[in-house]
Amino acid sequence: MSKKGTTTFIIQRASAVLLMPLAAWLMFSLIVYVGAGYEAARGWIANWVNGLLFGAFIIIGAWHARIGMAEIITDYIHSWLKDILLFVNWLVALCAIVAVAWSVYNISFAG
Amino acid sequence: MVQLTLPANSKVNKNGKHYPAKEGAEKVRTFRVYRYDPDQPDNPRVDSYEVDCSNVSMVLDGLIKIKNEIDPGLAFRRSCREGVCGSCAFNINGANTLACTKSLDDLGAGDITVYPLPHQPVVKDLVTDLSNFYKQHAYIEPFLQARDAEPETEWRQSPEDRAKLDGLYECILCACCSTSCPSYWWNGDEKDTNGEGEYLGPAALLQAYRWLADSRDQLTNDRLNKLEDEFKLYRCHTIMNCAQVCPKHLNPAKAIAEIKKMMVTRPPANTPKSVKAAAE
Repeated sequence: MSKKGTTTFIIQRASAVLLMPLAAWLMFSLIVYVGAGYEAARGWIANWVNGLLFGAFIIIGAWHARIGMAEIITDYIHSWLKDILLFVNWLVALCAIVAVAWSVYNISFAG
Repeated sequence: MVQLTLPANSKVNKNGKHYPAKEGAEKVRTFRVYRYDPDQPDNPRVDSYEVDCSNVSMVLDGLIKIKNEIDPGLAFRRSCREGVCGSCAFNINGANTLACTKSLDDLGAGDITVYPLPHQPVVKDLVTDLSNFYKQHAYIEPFLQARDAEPETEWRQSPEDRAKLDGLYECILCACCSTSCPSYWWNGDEKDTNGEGEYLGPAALLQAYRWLADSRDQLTNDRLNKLEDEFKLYRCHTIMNCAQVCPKHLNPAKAIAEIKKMMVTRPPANTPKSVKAAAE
């Protein structure tokens, strides 16, 4: 058993605090773009500031969700399945992070 | 998976006995009491007793009356009868509390159900096995520890520092808080031989903070190190059942939050990893 309880606790709270302004910003942006088409949305992310903030929201959100899901798995699963589920949980978060980082890079910076 | 349903041999059957009130009984209340005898092959049952409550004010008085006058075989712990010893903690009308301080008037006009403390092994009837609970209390080392030489008189403490222990030292270890906590139900026992994977529960952590907050105790860092893993402290998800049910009106959840604050704010040099590295 690792001694990482406090580290996890701090990261979970810190990511929640970071997500609050990012979520507000994203909600505001989505409301502004209600009804706009695909090109308008792509153009919005193509702005590097928007791309950066959007990428940060997904990446921080994915890590925050990973910690939350790991808490649930640790609470309720006590068999050999626990380690497998924790690994899958970690893998899902990593895939989300890589996918969004790659997408934002291509749309906002390489395009 | 955690055990979300009762094991087959713990499910309450419908063979409960009924003990009607005697002729001429006044102010009759019905006590529905959990019964289990380990010497019998039967599953637990719930017996109902119609009790003359004209001279009964507290639930414990009712249980004692049942034992004295109706059913001497009923087993339950009790001692002080005034909310000091913590022996008569049961689940009464769905909430953990002390039978000796729970008034019948507070329970409305309906039946009174009395079950043992939840999610603990039942020894007999309302008596639960609290060995693990006491082991967890021992784990937090509930006594003053200092590195300085013992003074010739007493360990002195200012009135301000003493006041920090109010709301902590009053705990009577009745186990109402720990056994009302879902997190403690799922993770309150050891998962492996190293003693890891065990949430200590609200009662033990309240006592842990009682010594962490004591100005005379000098092993703060060692005490925090003993709580530093994913289970012992951090399985508390602020469900707050502990504060809701505490018959002494203490707030274990707040004490746990204070420990978490101490964990976060202590210098990095004091974390277990650094301590281990320094030792090597």
